[in-house]
Amino acid sequence: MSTNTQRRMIIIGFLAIPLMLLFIFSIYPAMQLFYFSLTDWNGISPDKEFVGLENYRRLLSEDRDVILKPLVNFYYYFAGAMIQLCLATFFAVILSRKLPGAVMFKIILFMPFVLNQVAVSIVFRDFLQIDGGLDDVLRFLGLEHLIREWIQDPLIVKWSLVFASIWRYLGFQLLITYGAIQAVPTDQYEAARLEGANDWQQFFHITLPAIAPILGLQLMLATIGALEVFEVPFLITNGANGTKTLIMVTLEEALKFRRYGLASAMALIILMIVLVILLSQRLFLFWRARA
Amino acid sequence: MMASLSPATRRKLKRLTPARVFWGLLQYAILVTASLIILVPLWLTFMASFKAPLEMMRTPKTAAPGNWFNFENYVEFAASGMLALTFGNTLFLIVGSVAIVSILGTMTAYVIDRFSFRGRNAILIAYLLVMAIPGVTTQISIYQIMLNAGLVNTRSALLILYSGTDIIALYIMITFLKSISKELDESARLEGAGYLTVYWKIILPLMIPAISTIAILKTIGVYNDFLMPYLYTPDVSKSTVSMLLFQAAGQLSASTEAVLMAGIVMVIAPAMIAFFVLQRQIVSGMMRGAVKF
Repeated sequence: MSTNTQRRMIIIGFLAIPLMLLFIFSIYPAMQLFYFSLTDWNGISPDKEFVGLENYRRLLSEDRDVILKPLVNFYYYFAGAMIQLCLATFFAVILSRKLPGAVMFKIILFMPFVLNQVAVSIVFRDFLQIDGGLDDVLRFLGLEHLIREWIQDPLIVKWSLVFASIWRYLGFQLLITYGAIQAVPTDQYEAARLEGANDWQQFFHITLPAIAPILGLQLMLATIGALEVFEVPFLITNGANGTKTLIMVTLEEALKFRRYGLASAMALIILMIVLVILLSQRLFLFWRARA
Repeated sequence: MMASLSPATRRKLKRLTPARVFWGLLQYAILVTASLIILVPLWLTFMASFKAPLEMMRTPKTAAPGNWFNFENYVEFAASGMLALTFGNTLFLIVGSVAIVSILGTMTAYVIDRFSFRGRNAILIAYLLVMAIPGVTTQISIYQIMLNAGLVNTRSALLILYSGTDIIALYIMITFLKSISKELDESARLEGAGYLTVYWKIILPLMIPAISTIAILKTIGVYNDFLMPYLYTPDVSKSTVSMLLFQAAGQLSASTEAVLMAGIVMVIAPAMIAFFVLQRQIVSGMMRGAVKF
Protein backbone atom coordinates (compact mmCIF):
# COMPACT_ATOMS: atom_id res chain seq x y z
CA MET A 1 0.00 0.00 0.00
CA SER A 2 1.38 3.37 -0.91
CA THR A 3 2.04 5.90 1.86
CA ASN A 4 -0.59 8.19 0.43
CA THR A 5 -3.30 5.55 0.55
CA GLN A 6 -2.23 4.69 4.09
CA ARG A 7 -2.44 8.33 5.04
CA ARG A 8 -5.91 8.71 3.58
CA MET A 9 -7.09 5.53 5.27
CA ILE A 10 -5.88 6.58 8.68
CA ILE A 11 -7.44 10.04 8.37
CA ILE A 12 -10.79 8.67 7.25
CA GLY A 13 -10.71 5.66 9.57
CA PHE A 14 -9.83 7.62 12.68
CA LEU A 15 -12.22 10.50 12.07
CA ALA A 16 -15.26 8.58 10.82
CA ILE A 17 -16.82 7.75 14.19
CA PRO A 18 -16.00 11.04 15.98
CA LEU A 19 -17.38 13.07 13.07
CA MET A 20 -20.46 10.89 12.83
CA LEU A 21 -21.12 11.44 16.54
CA LEU A 22 -20.48 15.18 16.14
CA PHE A 23 -23.05 15.33 13.38
CA ILE A 24 -25.75 13.12 14.93
CA PHE A 25 -25.63 14.47 18.48
CA SER A 26 -24.49 18.07 18.09
CA ILE A 27 -24.98 19.57 14.62
CA TYR A 28 -28.13 17.73 13.55
CA PRO A 29 -29.98 18.39 16.87
CA ALA A 30 -29.20 22.11 16.59
CA MET A 31 -30.60 22.15 13.05
CA GLN A 32 -33.63 20.14 14.11
CA LEU A 33 -34.22 22.54 16.94
CA PHE A 34 -34.55 25.32 14.40
CA TYR A 35 -36.87 23.23 12.22
CA PHE A 36 -39.09 22.22 15.19
CA SER A 37 -39.30 25.85 16.26
CA LEU A 38 -41.04 26.66 12.96
CA THR A 39 -43.76 24.04 13.49
CA ASP A 40 -46.69 23.48 15.84
CA TRP A 41 -45.53 19.93 16.64
CA ASN A 42 -46.59 18.32 19.93
CA GLY A 43 -43.66 15.92 20.10
CA ILE A 44 -45.65 12.72 19.45
CA SER A 45 -48.02 13.07 16.51
CA PRO A 46 -46.60 11.96 13.14
CA ASP A 47 -47.61 15.19 11.42
CA LYS A 48 -46.53 18.69 12.21
CA GLU A 49 -47.65 21.83 10.50
CA PHE A 50 -45.23 24.49 9.35
CA VAL A 51 -46.20 27.73 11.07
CA GLY A 52 -43.24 29.94 10.22
CA LEU A 53 -42.25 32.36 12.93
CA GLU A 54 -45.54 31.97 14.81
CA ASN A 55 -43.84 30.45 17.90
CA TYR A 56 -41.40 33.34 18.11
CA ARG A 57 -44.22 35.85 17.65
CA ARG A 58 -46.16 34.22 20.49
CA LEU A 59 -43.12 34.29 22.76
CA LEU A 60 -42.83 38.03 22.15
CA SER A 61 -46.53 38.80 22.60
CA GLU A 62 -49.25 36.71 24.27
CA ASP A 63 -46.95 34.03 25.71
CA ARG A 64 -44.42 36.61 26.82
CA ASP A 65 -44.79 35.62 30.47
CA VAL A 66 -43.48 32.12 29.78
CA ILE A 67 -40.06 33.68 29.24
CA LEU A 68 -40.31 36.85 31.31
CA LYS A 69 -41.30 35.16 34.58
CA PRO A 70 -38.31 32.82 34.73
CA LEU A 71 -36.10 35.66 33.50
CA VAL A 72 -36.57 37.31 36.92
CA ASN A 73 -34.72 34.36 38.39
CA PHE A 74 -31.89 34.92 35.96
CA TYR A 75 -31.19 38.22 37.75
CA TYR A 76 -30.93 36.44 41.08
CA TYR A 77 -28.52 33.84 39.75
CA PHE A 78 -26.56 36.56 37.99
CA ALA A 79 -26.33 38.54 41.23
CA GLY A 80 -25.39 35.29 42.94
CA ALA A 81 -22.66 34.71 40.37
CA MET A 82 -21.24 38.17 41.13
CA ILE A 83 -21.23 37.46 44.86
CA GLN A 84 -19.64 34.10 44.17
CA LEU A 85 -16.92 35.66 42.02
CA CYS A 86 -16.05 38.18 44.74
CA LEU A 87 -16.01 35.48 47.41
CA ALA A 88 -13.92 33.16 45.24
CA THR A 89 -11.39 35.92 44.57
CA PHE A 90 -11.27 36.84 48.25
CA PHE A 91 -10.64 33.24 49.33
CA ALA A 92 -8.16 32.65 46.52
CA VAL A 93 -6.14 35.69 47.60
CA ILE A 94 -5.97 34.78 51.27
CA LEU A 95 -5.33 31.10 50.55
CA SER A 96 -2.47 31.90 48.19
CA ARG A 97 -0.60 33.57 51.07
CA LYS A 98 0.45 30.11 52.24
CA LEU A 99 -0.90 30.54 55.75
CA PRO A 100 -0.83 27.39 57.85
CA GLY A 101 -3.76 25.11 57.03
CA ALA A 102 -4.39 26.74 53.64
CA VAL A 103 -4.39 23.38 51.84
CA MET A 104 -7.03 21.98 54.18
CA PHE A 105 -9.31 24.99 53.72
CA LYS A 106 -8.88 24.78 49.96
CA ILE A 107 -9.91 21.12 49.96
CA ILE A 108 -12.95 21.75 52.16
CA LEU A 109 -14.15 24.67 50.06
CA PHE A 110 -13.71 22.73 46.82
CA MET A 111 -15.24 19.46 48.05
CA PRO A 112 -18.94 20.21 47.35
CA PHE A 113 -18.14 20.38 43.65
CA VAL A 114 -17.33 16.66 43.46
CA LEU A 115 -20.45 15.55 45.32
CA ASN A 116 -23.55 14.13 43.64
CA GLN A 117 -26.00 16.86 42.52
CA VAL A 118 -29.12 15.07 43.68
CA ALA A 119 -27.64 14.06 47.03
CA VAL A 120 -26.48 17.60 47.76
CA SER A 121 -29.83 19.05 46.68
CA ILE A 122 -31.76 16.74 49.00
CA VAL A 123 -29.37 17.69 51.79
CA PHE A 124 -30.25 21.34 51.17
CA ARG A 125 -33.96 20.69 50.79
CA ASP A 126 -33.92 19.17 54.27
CA PHE A 127 -31.55 21.78 55.62
CA LEU A 128 -33.77 24.69 54.53
CA GLN A 129 -37.10 23.05 55.37
CA ILE A 130 -39.35 24.47 58.13
CA ASP A 131 -37.85 23.04 61.35
CA GLY A 132 -35.04 21.69 59.21
CA GLY A 133 -31.31 21.69 59.85
CA LEU A 134 -30.74 25.42 59.49
CA ASP A 135 -33.53 26.29 61.94
CA ASP A 136 -32.11 23.82 64.46
CA VAL A 137 -28.62 25.23 64.02
CA LEU A 138 -29.94 28.76 64.63
CA ARG A 139 -31.76 27.54 67.75
CA PHE A 140 -28.59 25.83 68.89
CA LEU A 141 -26.73 29.12 68.54
CA GLY A 142 -29.50 31.05 70.30
CA LEU A 143 -30.43 32.95 67.16
CA GLU A 144 -34.11 31.84 66.95
CA HIS A 145 -35.20 35.30 65.87
CA LEU A 146 -33.40 34.82 62.55
CA ILE A 147 -35.50 31.79 61.58
CA ARG A 148 -37.42 32.32 58.34
CA GLU A 149 -39.41 30.19 55.92
CA TRP A 150 -36.33 29.61 53.80
CA ILE A 151 -37.96 27.89 50.85
CA GLN A 152 -41.61 28.82 51.33
CA ASP A 153 -41.29 32.59 51.45
CA PRO A 154 -41.20 33.76 47.80
CA LEU A 155 -38.92 36.66 48.72
CA ILE A 156 -36.36 34.51 50.51
CA VAL A 157 -36.42 31.28 48.51
CA LYS A 158 -34.54 32.82 45.57
CA TRP A 159 -31.66 33.78 47.82
CA SER A 160 -31.78 30.36 49.48
CA LEU A 161 -31.31 28.75 46.07
CA VAL A 162 -28.54 31.18 45.21
CA PHE A 163 -26.91 30.20 48.49
CA ALA A 164 -27.19 26.49 47.65
CA SER A 165 -25.69 27.20 44.26
CA ILE A 166 -22.76 29.20 45.70
CA TRP A 167 -22.22 26.45 48.26
CA ARG A 168 -21.71 23.99 45.44
CA TYR A 169 -19.76 26.02 42.88
CA LEU A 170 -17.67 28.46 44.94
CA GLY A 171 -14.77 26.02 45.29
CA PHE A 172 -14.52 25.48 41.56
CA GLN A 173 -14.20 29.18 40.87
CA LEU A 174 -11.83 29.54 43.80
CA LEU A 175 -9.59 26.93 42.23
CA ILE A 176 -9.42 28.68 38.86
CA THR A 177 -8.73 32.07 40.43
CA TYR A 178 -6.16 30.48 42.74
CA GLY A 179 -4.40 29.01 39.71
CA ALA A 180 -4.31 32.44 38.07
CA ILE A 181 -2.83 34.03 41.19
CA GLN A 182 -0.15 31.33 41.39
CA ALA A 183 0.92 32.27 37.87
CA VAL A 184 1.78 35.84 38.91
CA PRO A 185 5.60 36.10 39.25
CA THR A 186 6.55 36.47 42.94
CA ASP A 187 9.35 38.97 42.27
CA GLN A 188 6.68 41.55 41.44
CA TYR A 189 5.42 41.32 45.01
CA GLU A 190 8.96 41.45 46.38
CA ALA A 191 9.66 44.64 44.45
CA ALA A 192 6.40 46.21 45.57
CA ARG A 193 7.10 45.30 49.18
CA LEU A 194 10.56 46.85 49.03
CA GLU A 195 8.92 50.04 47.84
CA GLY A 196 6.63 49.89 50.85
CA ALA A 197 3.36 48.85 49.19
CA ASN A 198 0.86 47.40 51.66
CA ASP A 199 -1.36 44.34 51.06
CA TRP A 200 -4.21 46.35 49.59
CA GLN A 201 -1.92 48.17 47.19
CA GLN A 202 -0.30 44.89 46.20
CA PHE A 203 -3.74 43.39 45.50
CA PHE A 204 -5.03 46.33 43.47
CA HIS A 205 -1.84 47.04 41.53
CA ILE A 206 -0.40 43.55 40.96
CA THR A 207 -2.84 40.70 41.64
CA LEU A 208 -6.02 42.24 40.25
CA PRO A 209 -4.59 43.37 36.89
CA ALA A 210 -2.87 40.00 36.50
CA ILE A 211 -6.00 37.93 37.09
CA ALA A 212 -8.40 40.32 35.34
CA PRO A 213 -8.58 38.23 32.14
CA ILE A 214 -9.46 35.10 34.12
CA LEU A 215 -12.05 37.03 36.12
CA GLY A 216 -13.53 38.34 32.89
CA LEU A 217 -13.73 34.83 31.50
CA GLN A 218 -15.40 33.60 34.68
CA LEU A 219 -17.83 36.49 34.57
CA MET A 220 -18.86 35.45 31.08
CA LEU A 221 -19.16 31.78 32.03
CA ALA A 222 -21.17 32.79 35.10
CA THR A 223 -23.58 34.80 32.95
CA ILE A 224 -24.08 31.81 30.69
CA GLY A 225 -24.38 29.55 33.72
CA ALA A 226 -27.08 31.80 35.19
CA LEU A 227 -29.10 31.37 31.98
CA GLU A 228 -28.78 27.59 32.14
CA VAL A 229 -29.64 26.96 35.79
CA PHE A 230 -31.69 23.80 36.12
CA GLU A 231 -30.70 21.22 38.71
CA VAL A 232 -30.55 23.29 41.90
CA PRO A 233 -34.07 24.80 41.76
CA PHE A 234 -35.58 21.73 40.10
CA LEU A 235 -34.38 19.41 42.84
CA ILE A 236 -34.84 21.72 45.84
CA THR A 237 -38.17 23.44 45.14
CA ASN A 238 -39.30 21.87 41.85
CA GLY A 239 -40.08 25.39 40.69
CA ALA A 240 -42.52 26.21 43.52
CA ASN A 241 -42.89 29.79 44.83
CA GLY A 242 -41.71 31.39 41.61
CA THR A 243 -38.36 29.64 41.28
CA LYS A 244 -38.79 28.21 37.77
CA THR A 245 -35.84 28.91 35.52
CA LEU A 246 -35.72 29.27 31.73
CA ILE A 247 -34.43 25.74 31.22
CA MET A 248 -37.05 24.27 33.56
CA VAL A 249 -39.84 26.04 31.70
CA THR A 250 -38.43 24.97 28.34
CA LEU A 251 -38.23 21.29 29.30
CA GLU A 252 -41.69 21.54 30.85
CA GLU A 253 -43.20 23.01 27.67
CA ALA A 254 -41.71 20.19 25.63
CA LEU A 255 -42.19 17.13 27.81
CA LYS A 256 -45.18 18.05 29.98
CA PHE A 257 -47.33 20.47 28.00
CA ARG A 258 -46.37 18.89 24.70
CA ARG A 259 -45.72 22.19 22.98
CA TYR A 260 -42.59 21.03 21.25
CA GLY A 261 -42.50 23.81 18.68
CA LEU A 262 -42.74 26.52 21.29
CA ALA A 263 -40.15 24.81 23.51
CA SER A 264 -37.76 24.54 20.56
CA ALA A 265 -38.15 28.25 19.88
CA MET A 266 -37.34 28.98 23.52
CA ALA A 267 -34.31 26.68 23.48
CA LEU A 268 -33.09 28.35 20.31
CA ILE A 269 -33.46 31.81 21.86
CA ILE A 270 -31.35 30.70 24.84
CA LEU A 271 -28.81 29.16 22.48
CA MET A 272 -28.59 32.38 20.48
CA ILE A 273 -28.10 34.53 23.58
CA VAL A 274 -25.27 32.25 24.71
CA LEU A 275 -23.65 32.35 21.28
CA VAL A 276 -23.85 36.16 21.22
CA ILE A 277 -22.24 36.39 24.66
CA LEU A 278 -19.43 34.01 23.65
CA LEU A 279 -18.91 35.73 20.33
CA SER A 280 -18.71 39.20 21.84
CA GLN A 281 -16.12 37.93 24.31
CA ARG A 282 -14.10 36.52 21.41
CA LEU A 283 -14.38 39.78 19.51
CA PHE A 284 -13.38 41.73 22.60
CA LEU A 285 -10.25 39.59 23.03
CA PHE A 286 -9.46 39.89 19.34
CA TRP A 287 -9.93 43.66 19.42
CA ARG A 288 -7.76 44.01 22.53
CA ALA A 289 -5.03 41.83 21.06
CA ARG A 290 -4.90 44.14 18.04
CA ALA A 291 -5.03 47.37 19.99
CA MET B 1 19.12 43.04 71.13
CA MET B 2 17.46 43.55 67.77
CA ALA B 3 20.89 43.46 66.18
CA SER B 4 21.36 39.78 67.02
CA LEU B 5 18.31 38.74 64.97
CA SER B 6 18.65 37.80 61.33
CA PRO B 7 17.33 40.37 58.85
CA ALA B 8 14.50 38.07 57.75
CA THR B 9 13.23 37.53 61.30
CA ARG B 10 13.51 41.21 61.99
CA ARG B 11 11.45 41.96 58.92
CA LYS B 12 8.83 39.47 60.05
CA LEU B 13 8.70 40.99 63.54
CA LYS B 14 8.36 44.44 62.08
CA ARG B 15 5.43 43.21 60.00
CA LEU B 16 3.73 41.78 63.07
CA THR B 17 1.88 44.96 64.00
CA PRO B 18 -1.41 44.78 65.94
CA ALA B 19 -3.30 45.59 62.74
CA ARG B 20 -1.65 42.65 60.97
CA VAL B 21 -2.41 40.26 63.81
CA PHE B 22 -6.03 41.40 63.72
CA TRP B 23 -6.28 40.84 59.95
CA GLY B 24 -4.63 37.44 60.25
CA LEU B 25 -7.10 36.32 62.90
CA LEU B 26 -9.99 37.73 60.90
CA GLN B 27 -8.89 35.72 57.88
CA TYR B 28 -8.88 32.55 59.93
CA ALA B 29 -12.27 33.37 61.41
CA ILE B 30 -13.71 33.82 57.92
CA LEU B 31 -12.10 30.62 56.62
CA VAL B 32 -13.38 28.62 59.58
CA THR B 33 -16.89 30.06 59.17
CA ALA B 34 -16.90 29.21 55.46
CA SER B 35 -15.69 25.67 56.17
CA LEU B 36 -18.40 25.22 58.78
CA ILE B 37 -21.04 26.41 56.31
CA ILE B 38 -19.77 23.76 53.88
CA LEU B 39 -19.54 20.97 56.45
CA VAL B 40 -22.55 21.49 58.73
CA PRO B 41 -25.31 20.47 56.26
CA LEU B 42 -23.32 17.32 55.43
CA TRP B 43 -22.63 16.58 59.09
CA LEU B 44 -26.33 16.90 59.99
CA THR B 45 -27.17 14.46 57.20
CA PHE B 46 -24.55 12.05 58.46
CA MET B 47 -25.95 12.18 62.01
CA ALA B 48 -29.53 11.78 60.79
CA SER B 49 -28.61 8.61 58.91
CA PHE B 50 -28.09 6.81 62.25
CA LYS B 51 -31.34 7.95 63.87
CA ALA B 52 -34.44 5.81 64.43
CA PRO B 53 -37.69 7.19 62.89
CA LEU B 54 -39.09 8.45 66.22
CA GLU B 55 -35.76 9.90 67.26
CA MET B 56 -35.66 11.71 63.91
CA MET B 57 -38.96 13.43 64.65
CA ARG B 58 -38.35 14.24 68.31
CA THR B 59 -34.76 15.38 68.49
CA PRO B 60 -33.34 18.50 66.85
CA LYS B 61 -31.15 17.92 63.79
CA THR B 62 -28.19 19.23 65.76
CA ALA B 63 -28.45 16.40 68.30
CA ALA B 64 -26.13 13.43 67.93
CA PRO B 65 -27.83 10.09 67.30
CA GLY B 66 -28.51 7.97 70.41
CA ASN B 67 -26.73 5.03 68.85
CA TRP B 68 -23.88 5.67 66.41
CA PHE B 69 -23.96 2.00 65.42
CA ASN B 70 -27.57 1.90 64.29
CA PHE B 71 -27.13 0.81 60.68
CA GLU B 72 -30.80 -0.09 60.13
CA ASN B 73 -31.37 2.85 57.78
CA TYR B 74 -28.43 1.76 55.64
CA VAL B 75 -29.66 -1.82 55.51
CA GLU B 76 -33.15 -0.67 54.59
CA PHE B 77 -31.99 1.63 51.80
CA ALA B 78 -29.83 -1.10 50.30
CA ALA B 79 -32.40 -3.86 50.85
CA SER B 80 -34.35 -3.47 47.61
CA GLY B 81 -31.15 -4.18 45.66
CA MET B 82 -31.66 -0.99 43.64
CA LEU B 83 -28.65 0.65 45.22
CA ALA B 84 -26.32 -2.12 44.06
CA LEU B 85 -27.98 -2.15 40.63
CA THR B 86 -27.71 1.62 40.08
CA PHE B 87 -24.15 1.64 41.42
CA GLY B 88 -23.36 -1.05 38.86
CA ASN B 89 -24.98 1.01 36.10
CA THR B 90 -23.06 4.11 37.15
CA LEU B 91 -19.78 2.20 37.21
CA PHE B 92 -20.53 0.71 33.80
CA LEU B 93 -21.18 4.18 32.39
CA ILE B 94 -18.02 5.64 33.95
CA VAL B 95 -15.73 2.85 32.72
CA GLY B 96 -17.42 2.68 29.31
CA SER B 97 -17.41 6.41 28.63
CA VAL B 98 -13.82 6.89 29.87
CA ALA B 99 -12.66 4.05 27.60
CA ILE B 100 -14.56 5.28 24.54
CA VAL B 101 -13.66 8.95 25.01
CA SER B 102 -9.99 8.03 25.53
CA ILE B 103 -9.81 5.99 22.34
CA LEU B 104 -11.87 8.30 20.13
CA GLY B 105 -10.22 11.38 21.65
CA THR B 106 -6.65 10.22 21.10
CA MET B 107 -7.50 9.09 17.55
CA THR B 108 -9.07 12.45 16.73
CA ALA B 109 -6.19 14.35 18.31
CA TYR B 110 -3.64 12.27 16.38
CA VAL B 111 -5.22 12.90 13.01
CA ILE B 112 -6.12 16.56 13.63
CA ASP B 113 -2.75 17.54 15.06
CA ARG B 114 -0.28 15.39 13.11
CA PHE B 115 -1.78 15.45 9.62
CA SER B 116 -2.61 18.32 7.35
CA PHE B 117 -5.48 17.61 4.97
CA ARG B 118 -8.33 19.36 3.28
CA GLY B 119 -11.22 20.00 5.68
CA ARG B 120 -9.02 20.05 8.76
CA ASN B 121 -9.79 23.68 9.57
CA ALA B 122 -13.47 23.15 8.88
CA ILE B 123 -13.51 20.32 11.43
CA LEU B 124 -11.72 22.45 14.03
CA ILE B 125 -14.16 25.31 13.53
CA ALA B 126 -17.10 22.90 13.76
CA TYR B 127 -15.80 21.61 17.11
CA LEU B 128 -15.28 25.15 18.42
CA LEU B 129 -18.79 26.19 17.37
CA VAL B 130 -20.42 23.09 18.80
CA MET B 131 -18.56 23.61 22.07
CA ALA B 132 -20.33 26.96 22.37
CA ILE B 133 -23.80 25.40 22.05
CA PRO B 134 -25.24 24.85 25.52
CA GLY B 135 -25.96 21.14 25.85
CA VAL B 136 -29.24 21.60 27.71
CA THR B 137 -30.88 23.38 24.80
CA THR B 138 -30.33 20.65 22.22
CA GLN B 139 -31.65 17.93 24.53
CA ILE B 140 -35.10 18.72 23.16
CA SER B 141 -34.14 17.35 19.76
CA ILE B 142 -31.68 14.72 21.00
CA TYR B 143 -34.57 13.28 22.99
CA GLN B 144 -36.46 12.70 19.73
CA ILE B 145 -33.43 10.97 18.19
CA MET B 146 -33.18 8.63 21.18
CA LEU B 147 -36.92 8.01 21.09
CA ASN B 148 -36.84 7.12 17.39
CA ALA B 149 -33.83 4.85 17.90
CA GLY B 150 -35.71 3.05 20.69
CA LEU B 151 -32.96 3.92 23.14
CA VAL B 152 -34.98 5.75 25.80
CA ASN B 153 -34.77 3.80 29.05
CA THR B 154 -31.61 1.97 28.09
CA ARG B 155 -28.12 2.34 29.49
CA SER B 156 -26.88 2.64 25.90
CA ALA B 157 -28.57 6.04 25.57
CA LEU B 158 -26.54 7.38 28.49
CA LEU B 159 -23.35 5.67 27.32
CA ILE B 160 -23.68 7.18 23.84
CA LEU B 161 -24.34 10.67 25.18
CA TYR B 162 -21.57 10.56 27.78
CA SER B 163 -19.01 9.31 25.27
CA GLY B 164 -20.19 10.91 22.04
CA THR B 165 -20.95 14.49 23.00
CA ASP B 166 -17.94 15.36 25.14
CA ILE B 167 -16.39 17.96 22.88
CA ILE B 168 -14.46 19.49 25.78
CA ALA B 169 -12.60 16.19 26.27
CA LEU B 170 -11.69 16.15 22.60
CA TYR B 171 -10.49 19.71 22.85
CA ILE B 172 -8.29 18.90 25.87
CA MET B 173 -6.80 15.96 23.94
CA ILE B 174 -6.05 18.04 20.84
CA THR B 175 -4.48 20.86 22.88
CA PHE B 176 -2.42 18.34 24.83
CA LEU B 177 -1.01 16.60 21.78
CA LYS B 178 -0.20 19.97 20.22
CA SER B 179 2.09 20.68 23.19
CA ILE B 180 4.10 17.48 22.62
CA SER B 181 6.98 17.61 20.17
CA LYS B 182 6.59 15.68 16.92
CA GLU B 183 10.15 14.36 17.11
CA LEU B 184 9.32 10.92 18.48
CA ASP B 185 6.59 10.00 16.05
CA GLU B 186 8.40 11.54 13.08
CA SER B 187 11.57 9.55 13.72
CA ALA B 188 9.51 6.38 14.14
CA ARG B 189 7.93 7.11 10.75
CA LEU B 190 11.39 7.50 9.23
CA GLU B 191 12.36 4.12 10.63
CA GLY B 192 9.45 2.64 8.73
CA ALA B 193 6.72 2.33 11.33
CA GLY B 194 3.16 2.47 9.95
CA TYR B 195 0.66 5.08 11.09
CA LEU B 196 -1.25 2.57 13.20
CA THR B 197 1.94 1.49 14.96
CA VAL B 198 2.88 5.11 15.61
CA TYR B 199 -0.56 5.76 17.10
CA TRP B 200 -0.56 2.65 19.23
CA LYS B 201 3.10 2.56 20.33
CA ILE B 202 3.93 6.27 20.59
CA ILE B 203 0.94 8.62 20.58
CA LEU B 204 -1.26 6.63 22.98
CA PRO B 205 1.43 6.21 25.69
CA LEU B 206 2.42 9.89 25.33
CA MET B 207 -1.17 10.93 25.93
CA ILE B 208 -1.63 9.10 29.22
CA PRO B 209 -1.56 12.37 31.25
CA ALA B 210 -4.39 13.75 29.11
CA ILE B 211 -6.29 10.48 29.42
CA SER B 212 -6.03 10.59 33.21
CA THR B 213 -7.31 14.17 33.22
CA ILE B 214 -10.28 13.07 31.12
CA ALA B 215 -10.84 10.06 33.37
CA ILE B 216 -11.10 12.33 36.41
CA LEU B 217 -13.39 14.84 34.72
CA LYS B 218 -15.62 12.11 33.30
CA THR B 219 -15.88 10.19 36.55
CA ILE B 220 -16.96 13.30 38.43
CA GLY B 221 -19.27 14.32 35.59
CA VAL B 222 -21.02 10.98 35.14
CA TYR B 223 -21.28 10.16 38.83
CA ASN B 224 -22.89 13.50 39.65
CA ASP B 225 -24.98 14.16 36.55
CA PHE B 226 -28.72 14.41 36.91
CA LEU B 227 -30.12 15.85 33.66
CA MET B 228 -29.24 12.95 31.35
CA PRO B 229 -30.47 10.14 33.62
CA TYR B 230 -33.61 12.17 34.35
CA LEU B 231 -34.39 12.66 30.66
CA TYR B 232 -33.29 9.37 29.15
CA THR B 233 -33.73 6.74 31.86
CA PRO B 234 -36.86 7.45 33.91
CA ASP B 235 -36.82 3.72 34.73
CA VAL B 236 -34.52 3.69 37.75
CA SER B 237 -33.33 0.11 37.18
CA LYS B 238 -31.67 1.30 33.95
CA SER B 239 -30.29 4.46 35.52
CA THR B 240 -27.61 5.86 37.82
CA VAL B 241 -27.47 6.54 41.56
CA SER B 242 -28.72 10.09 40.86
CA MET B 243 -32.08 8.79 39.65
CA LEU B 244 -32.31 6.37 42.56
CA LEU B 245 -31.95 9.24 45.03
CA PHE B 246 -34.34 11.39 42.99
CA GLN B 247 -37.00 8.68 43.09
CA ALA B 248 -36.44 7.98 46.79
CA ALA B 249 -36.72 11.71 47.56
CA GLY B 250 -40.02 11.82 45.67
CA GLN B 251 -41.52 9.03 47.76
CA LEU B 252 -40.33 10.57 51.00
CA SER B 253 -42.45 10.37 54.17
CA ALA B 254 -41.58 11.42 57.71
CA SER B 255 -40.79 7.85 58.72
CA THR B 256 -38.38 7.22 55.84
CA GLU B 257 -36.42 10.46 56.04
CA ALA B 258 -33.55 8.89 57.96
CA VAL B 259 -33.42 6.05 55.42
CA LEU B 260 -33.02 8.57 52.62
CA MET B 261 -30.23 10.24 54.58
CA ALA B 262 -28.46 6.87 54.77
CA GLY B 263 -28.82 6.56 51.01
CA ILE B 264 -27.30 10.00 50.54
CA VAL B 265 -24.36 9.11 52.77
CA MET B 266 -23.77 5.92 50.77
CA VAL B 267 -23.78 7.85 47.49
CA ILE B 268 -21.61 10.71 48.76
CA ALA B 269 -19.11 8.67 50.79
CA PRO B 270 -17.27 6.93 47.93
CA ALA B 271 -16.86 10.27 46.12
CA MET B 272 -15.60 11.97 49.27
CA ILE B 273 -13.10 9.21 50.05
CA ALA B 274 -11.84 9.17 46.46
CA PHE B 275 -11.58 12.94 46.58
CA PHE B 276 -9.47 13.00 49.72
CA VAL B 277 -7.19 10.24 48.46
CA LEU B 278 -6.75 11.71 44.98
CA GLN B 279 -7.22 15.40 45.75
CA ARG B 280 -3.93 16.49 44.20
CA GLN B 281 -4.70 14.77 40.88
CA ILE B 282 -8.33 15.86 40.92
CA VAL B 283 -7.52 19.50 41.61
CA SER B 284 -4.89 19.69 38.85
CA GLY B 285 -7.15 17.75 36.47
CA MET B 286 -10.03 20.12 37.11
CA MET B 287 -7.80 23.11 36.53
CA ARG B 288 -6.60 21.75 33.21
CA GLY B 289 -10.17 20.96 32.20
CA ALA B 290 -11.51 24.33 33.27
CA VAL B 291 -9.39 26.35 30.90
CA LYS B 292 -11.40 25.29 27.91
CA PHE B 293 -11.83 28.61 26.16
